[in-house]
Amino acid sequence: MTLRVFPIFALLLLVLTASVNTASAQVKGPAPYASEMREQCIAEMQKDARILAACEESHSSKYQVQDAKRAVKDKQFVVAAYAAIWAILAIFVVIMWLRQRKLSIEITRLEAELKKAAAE
Amino acid sequence: MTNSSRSAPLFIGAAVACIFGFGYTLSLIFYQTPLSAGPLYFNQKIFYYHVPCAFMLFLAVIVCGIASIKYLRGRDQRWDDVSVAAAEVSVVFGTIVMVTGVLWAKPAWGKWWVWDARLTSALLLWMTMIAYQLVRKYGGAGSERLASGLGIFAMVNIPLVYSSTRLWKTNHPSANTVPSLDPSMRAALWFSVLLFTVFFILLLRLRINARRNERRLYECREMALDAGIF
Amino acid sequence: MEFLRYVKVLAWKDVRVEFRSREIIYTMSFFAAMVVLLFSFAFLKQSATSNDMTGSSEHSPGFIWVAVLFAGTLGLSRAFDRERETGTMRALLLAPIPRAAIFLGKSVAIAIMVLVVQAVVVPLVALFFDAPLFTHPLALVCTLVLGTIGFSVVGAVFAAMLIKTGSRDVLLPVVLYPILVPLFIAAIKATAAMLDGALGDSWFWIRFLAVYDTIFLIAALWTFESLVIE
Repeated sequence: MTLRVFPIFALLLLVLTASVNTASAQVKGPAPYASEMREQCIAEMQKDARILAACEESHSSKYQVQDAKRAVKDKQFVVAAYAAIWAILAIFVVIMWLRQRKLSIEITRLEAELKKAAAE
Repeated sequence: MTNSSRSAPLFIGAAVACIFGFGYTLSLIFYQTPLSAGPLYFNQKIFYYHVPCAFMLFLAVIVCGIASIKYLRGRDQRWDDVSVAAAEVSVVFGTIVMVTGVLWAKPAWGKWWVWDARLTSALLLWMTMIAYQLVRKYGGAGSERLASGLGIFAMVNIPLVYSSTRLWKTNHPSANTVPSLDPSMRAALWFSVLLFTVFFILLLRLRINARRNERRLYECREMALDAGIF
Repeated sequence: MEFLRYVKVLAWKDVRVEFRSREIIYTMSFFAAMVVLLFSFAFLKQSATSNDMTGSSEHSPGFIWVAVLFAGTLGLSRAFDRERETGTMRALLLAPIPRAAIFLGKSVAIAIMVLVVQAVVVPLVALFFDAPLFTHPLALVCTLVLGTIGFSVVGAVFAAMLIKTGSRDVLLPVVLYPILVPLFIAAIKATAAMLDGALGDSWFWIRFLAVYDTIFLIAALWTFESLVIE
């Protein structure tokens, strides 16, 4: 009976996997390193217009969109991989269960016939 | 058969534990392991099932090899059943490893397949175990000896394949896939490995029982033929 | 000593039978040459400067070893078929000599045939692809001999097991090639390093070949007794 439950359960797990939250995919940066030099550095860098522009750009929505796209695409691959795992295991278990059932039906039939033949 | 019916409660208990355990790993993997420990993306989530399945592939091949040695020593059919079952389960886990590996490689490395030592040796091992299945299916009478020879040689071959493929790759940039793991990630991985080991034993057990039934059916048929039923 | 005498007698028997008809050597060599020829059709490139087709030596290690592997498999199945057809195998197994001696004798005979094929293939590749194969004769000979030993040891075990199987011609490469992959990688790498003039790398891979040969020789001697029973 556990065998019969497994494919159903695999399906359930599949749905669960598909509904996972991609929010956990967000990458947190390291905590800022506190030092006087750091302040000085930032002040120096802010004088340079090109660096400032580059900083502005790296915060722009372009990169956020890029990251979001990557996360969505990654999620598809992860869901596909987990689906494949459950599907392969479920197929194997179902095939084995069917084979087992066929065998035991045949064995009981033969044994009954043998018993009948012995009784006659 | 008596043996299997006696241990049936244990078997069912382990199966139920496995089912709940798998549900728990999903929660561990998707909600309780961070990605911030390194430059990791969401595709790293495949790792927690991919790696245990690869371990199971190797474990299954080793079980198959040892059972083959035992079978050749004593000609005990029960050891032959074990090696058949382990070989079949190893093909299942090998298929999982290959499919998930390909699905991980594409988002992580941008290519469906990379000729990394680990990938190549797992692929070769999987191919060897498929060869084992072919031998069993088409080898005819006496194929169990040939298959157990192949099982032993496959086991002996594991270190050779791994070292040769690793050295073969030395002059190429190697894709280092094992990042420094966060403790919670390591816990999730080992829990997953433990769970897959239990599941592996369950599958092995099931397959061994099926194999025994096959033999029993054969005996019944012989007896039926003798009794003149057919 | 007695053991080695048996091995010598058995190997000499095979070689003598072969040199009377030269059937296996002729067919194997022709087949290997044909494989090399087919490779040259597949891989020759139009040269940039002139209108000629030129061969590049970068693929030549692969050509040599693939041709040898294919031809060797052909020779293996034929050599054991001959034993089966005339019933010699049964006679040998009934003879009061250790099984290991039968196995080693057969391996030596096959190794000699494969070496003859290599004597045809290697100059042919050097000629067709302009490969400087003979600049380091000692490394070349070591690679060829060790590769041949490994091939014939593993090949003889599986061919002997398959002798009574109906579909042996199909199953032999199926079981043989996965096991031979480390040997194949090492042999190709040793030859390629030799062509590049990196003799240190070449000797490293030659040592790898020696390790492979030793491991499988031990495994084969250990299992042959129980694998081949009639």
